[in-house]
Amino acid sequence: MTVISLKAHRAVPDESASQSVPSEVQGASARVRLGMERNRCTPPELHVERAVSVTHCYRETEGLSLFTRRGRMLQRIVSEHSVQIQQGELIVGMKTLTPRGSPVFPEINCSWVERDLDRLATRSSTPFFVSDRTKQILRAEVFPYWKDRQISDRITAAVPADIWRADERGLIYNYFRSRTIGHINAGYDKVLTKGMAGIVADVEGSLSRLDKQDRDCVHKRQFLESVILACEAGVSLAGRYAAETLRLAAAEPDPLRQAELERTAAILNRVPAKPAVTFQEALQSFWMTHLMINLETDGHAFGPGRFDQYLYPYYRHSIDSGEITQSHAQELVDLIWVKFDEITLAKDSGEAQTSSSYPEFQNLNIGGLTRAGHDAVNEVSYLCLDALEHTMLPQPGLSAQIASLTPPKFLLRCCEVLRLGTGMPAMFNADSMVLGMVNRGKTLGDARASSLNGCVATFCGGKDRMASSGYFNLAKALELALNNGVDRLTGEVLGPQTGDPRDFTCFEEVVAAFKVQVEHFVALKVRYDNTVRDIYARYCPVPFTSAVIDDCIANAVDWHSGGSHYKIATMSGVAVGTVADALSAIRKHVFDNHTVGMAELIDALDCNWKGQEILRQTLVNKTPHYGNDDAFADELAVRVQDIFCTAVESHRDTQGAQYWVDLLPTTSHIALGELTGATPDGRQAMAWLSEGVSPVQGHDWKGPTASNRSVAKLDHARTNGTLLNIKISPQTVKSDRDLHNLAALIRAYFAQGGFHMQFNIIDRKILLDAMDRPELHRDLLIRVAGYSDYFVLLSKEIQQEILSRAEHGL
Amino acid sequence: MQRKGLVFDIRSYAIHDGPGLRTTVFLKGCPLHCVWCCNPESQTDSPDLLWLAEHCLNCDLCRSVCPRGALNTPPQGGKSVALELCDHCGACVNQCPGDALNLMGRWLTVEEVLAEVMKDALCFENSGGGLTLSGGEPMAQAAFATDLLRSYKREEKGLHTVMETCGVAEWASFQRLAEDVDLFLYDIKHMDPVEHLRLTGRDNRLILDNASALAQMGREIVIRLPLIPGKNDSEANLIATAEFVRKLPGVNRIDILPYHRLGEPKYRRLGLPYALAGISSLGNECAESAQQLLQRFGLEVRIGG
Repeated sequence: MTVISLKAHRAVPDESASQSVPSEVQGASARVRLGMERNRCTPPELHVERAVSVTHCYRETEGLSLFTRRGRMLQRIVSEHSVQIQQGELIVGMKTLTPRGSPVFPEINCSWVERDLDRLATRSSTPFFVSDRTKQILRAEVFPYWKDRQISDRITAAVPADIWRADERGLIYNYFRSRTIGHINAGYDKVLTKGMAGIVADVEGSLSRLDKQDRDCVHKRQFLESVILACEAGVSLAGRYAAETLRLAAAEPDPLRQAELERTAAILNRVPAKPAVTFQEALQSFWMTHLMINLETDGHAFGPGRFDQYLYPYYRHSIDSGEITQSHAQELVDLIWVKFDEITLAKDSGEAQTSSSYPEFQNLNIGGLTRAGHDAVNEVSYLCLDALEHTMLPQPGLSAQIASLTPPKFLLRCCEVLRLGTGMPAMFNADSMVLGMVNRGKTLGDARASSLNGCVATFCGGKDRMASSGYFNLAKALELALNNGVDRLTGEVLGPQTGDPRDFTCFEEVVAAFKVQVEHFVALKVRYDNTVRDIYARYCPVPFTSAVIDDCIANAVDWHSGGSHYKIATMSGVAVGTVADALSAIRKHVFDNHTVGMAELIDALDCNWKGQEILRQTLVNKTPHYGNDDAFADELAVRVQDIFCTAVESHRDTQGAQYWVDLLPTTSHIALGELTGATPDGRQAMAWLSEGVSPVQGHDWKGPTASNRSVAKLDHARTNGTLLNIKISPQTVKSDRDLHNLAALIRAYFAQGGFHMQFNIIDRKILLDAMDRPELHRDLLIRVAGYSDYFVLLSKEIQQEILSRAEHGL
Repeated sequence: MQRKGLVFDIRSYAIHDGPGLRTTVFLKGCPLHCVWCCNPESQTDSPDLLWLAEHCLNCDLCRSVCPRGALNTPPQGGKSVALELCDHCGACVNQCPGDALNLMGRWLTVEEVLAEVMKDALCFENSGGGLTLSGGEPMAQAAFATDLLRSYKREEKGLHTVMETCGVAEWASFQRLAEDVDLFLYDIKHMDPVEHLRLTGRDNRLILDNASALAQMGREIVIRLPLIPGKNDSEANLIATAEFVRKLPGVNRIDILPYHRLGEPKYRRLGLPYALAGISSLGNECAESAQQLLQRFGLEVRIGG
C-alpha cells in the first residue's frame, strides 16, 4: 500500500493552490524549528517544584486569611521557580523546568497523583514521566499535608450520594471535581495597555473606596491586598527572567545572540509591569500573564482569545516605526506558537479518558468583527495562519471567526491552511455568536468582541465567567425513560419512576417520560455544580485571575466567588443525534408503522439485541436519521434540544448566573457511551454516542450539505456553543476551485445559522496505516473534538471513532 | 397528468460535475452499452432490483411480502428475481432489514426532483454551482430533461446548468433544450464508426453531428474522453479526436477520464458479465502522455475534469 504522510502530501507542488491567495510563506526560521524539535523530543514530565513551594507556603501561613495565603503562595511559587531560558528564545518564560512538563497542584487535587504516581509514566492516555526524586519528595513532603485539606477531598465529602451515583452511572459529569473551573479568557489587553502597575493602581483605588460600614469590608480588603500580591508576583517573575537573561548575555560569545538577550532582558524589565509599546514587548507581556494564570490554578482552557485584535496596535507601531520587519514579526508569532505548545497539564486518569490529549484548549481567535461591527481581520490574523502553517503544532487551538462581511480572501486563506490537515483553523460563525451573546445579556459591543474558549464555548474576554461544568448524557436519560427510572446496565433505580414503557400507548408518552428524566437530572446536576463551585469560592481564591478580569477589582470580589462583570453557567448536552434517531425509530416503527410492539422493543433493549438482529437492522436501516435533511428525524432533534434547553434555562447558580446549554462533548461521548445501555436506534449497549451536534457516526449518508442542513435546524444561537465535525478526503480540496467550494460550504452552513465547523482533511488509508505503524506517522495531526492532537497518541477507541465518522467526498 | 422521469440517484455536493458545488440528477436509461460502463444499473429504462449479498440477513422476509411471487431463494443461497413477474412495487425493498435489496430508479415529477435539488440553493449561489443532469443518458428521457431544465431556469433565474451526455438523440431534442444548458460535458468515445459500434453498440455518426451542431449554435462544450486501455487510447484515435474537436467552433477543452474498475462489483451484483475483466485501471503515465499528445493540437486538456 502506498502511504502518503501528511508531510509528503504537503510537499506535492500544487500550483493552482499556491496562486490562490497571496501570502508570504517562507517557512519556519531555524530558531523556530529548534523550539519545535525541542518540544517534540522532550517527553512530558511531572515536576515537583510548584507542589513543594505551595505546601511550604500553606504550612507557614496557617492562621492567616485564605486570600493572603493565596497571594503569598503565588509569590512563593515565583520566587522558587526554576528560571530557564532556552536556546534561541526571544520570548521567554516556562511553566516548568522542561517544555511540555506539568506541575502538581496539591492544594486542588493531589490524591489522584498519589494514587497514579507509579502508573503515570506508563498509562496509555497522556503519560508523564516521573523521576524517583519527584516521587520521593511528593510522598515525603507533599501528600501527607494535603489529606482532607485539598479541594478534591472537600468535594468528595460535600457531594451527596445520589449525585455521586448519577455521576458514576454516566448520567452527569462534572469536571471541576478534579480540577479548577478554568475557562479563563483573561483581559490580556488590560495588561498590555496599563501594565501591572496600572492594575495595582486600580486596586488601590478600590481599596480607598471600601465602605468601612460594609460587614464584608475586612474580607474585601484582604482580597484586594491579595490581588496586589499577585500582581507583584507577576512583575517579579519577569524580573527573575530578566536577571537570568542578562547573566546569559554576559557569558554569550556570539555578539548577535548577546544583543538579542540584552534586548529581551530590557523588555522583561519593563513588562508586564509597565504598558507595552512594541510588538515584542506586547508578546512578552502577554506570555508572562499567560504563565501566571497557568501557575495559579490547574483548570484547562486558559484562552488567549482575540489575539489578533489586542496585538494589532503594537504590531502596527513596530512596523510603522521601522523597529521590526514583517518577517521578524512573523518569527515572533511563530515563536509564541512554540511557547503555547510547551503548555501541558497532567490530569486524573479518569478525566484523561474523557479528554484524552495533551493540548490544553488554548483557543486563539482570529478574524470576526470589531466592537463597532466592522471587519476585524488584520495583518496579525494572517501572521497567525502563517504560524500554524509554519509549525503545524497542535497548540494553540486556532479559531477563525467568519462573519457574513468577512472578506473572501481571509476565508480562502483559512481554507488553504485547513487543507494542510491539522483540523485548524476551526471555523466559527461570528454573526451567530453575536446573536447568541446578546441573547445571553451581553451588550452589542461586548458580543462582537467575544471569543471562543475551550473548544467551542463563547466568552466575553476579560469580563466573563463561563462555567462549562461538564456533561449531561441525554441518551442515558432516554434509557431511564424507557426503563421506568432504572439503569439498564446495573438494575439500580436512578431516576424518577416515569411508568412502565410497555404500557405507553402513544409517542407523546415517551417524550413526556424523557422530559421528566431530563428535568430531574438537570436539577441534580445544578446541585452538583453549585456544591462544587461553592467549595472553590470558599477555599480557592484566585487573586491573579481576578486581577485580569473585570470587575473583580471594582466589586472587590474574587473571580471564583462571582466577581466578574458577566457570569453564566452552562451544561453540555451529549448525544442529541443518538436520542433523535432513537425517538425517530420509536415513532416510526412502534407508533406509525407498527413494525414492532413497545414491549418487544423494550425486551430487545433489555437483552442488548441478543437474538434480535433482524429487528435491530430494521431499526438501523429503515428509520429516518438525523443528518439527512429529513424533516421526520430532524424535528425530533430540534425537540430534544428544546427539551434540554428549557430544562437547563430554568436554573441559576448560587452566584446568580443564568444556566445555558452548550452542545459539545469533547470525547465524553465515548466514556459516557460505555455507561449507556442499548438504544432504540439499534445502537448496542456500551457503544459510542453521537458527539456534539453531529449526526450519529456514519448515518449521514446523503453527504455534507444535507448533513449541514439538518444540523443547522437546531437553534445554535440559543446555545453557548455547538460542535460539528466534518471529515473530508484530501482529493476534494486539491485545487484552487476546490477551496472556493469548501468556502461555499462553510458560508452556506453559516447562512443557515450553523455555529461551528471543523474539518479533518484526511485520507482513510493514512489513518489505517497510522494505526498499524504509528512510528511512521508521528506528525499526523487531526482534529478530535474542539482540539487537534497527534493521531498516534490517541487511544485506540478514539482512533476508531475518527475512522467511523462518515468520510465525505469521493 | 404530469410527466415523470425515471431517476436513479440525486447526489448533492457533487464537485466534479461542472463548476462549483452542484447537485447531480442521474436519469436512467442509455442508448449505448459501453463495455467499460461503471454504472450498468443505469442502462436499462426501467427500475432494477439490486441485491447485495453482503447485506443479506437471510431472513427471507422479502419473499414473504412480494405480492407477485417474483422473489426466490435458490437452495444454493442468494436471491433470484423473476423479472417477468416483478412490477417494481418496492414492497420487498421497504421490508428488507439489512438494506440488501435496493430498487434502482424511481419515477419522480419535475417538482419532486427540483424540491430535492433546490435544497442546496445556498451552496449553488455561494460557489457558482447548480444543477447537473447525468445518467444513464439524460437525452434518453429528453422530454423530461427539457421540462426539468426549463422549470429550473424559470424558477431559479440564471443558476447554472450542466448536462453530461453521450450525444445520442435526435437533433430536434437537443435543439429544444440546448438554450437551457449552460455547459455540455460531451462524451466522444471513439472516432472510428466501426470501433464505436463494437465498443458501445452504435456507430458515432449522430454523436459527431450533434456535437458539431451544438457548437454551431454557440453552446459551451467540454469534450470528455473516457480513456480505456487497449480500446480507444491508440495514437491514431487520439489524433483523430483532437482534429475533430479543433474544428468545433468555440470548443477547445478536452477532459480525459482515465478508466477505473470501480464498476466491476456492480456487474457481479447484477449477474452480468464484465467485458473488461483482466484490464487494469489506467495509470497516470498513460493519461499524461495522452494529455501531452492532445495538447499539441492547441487544446486545453485536463485529467479527471
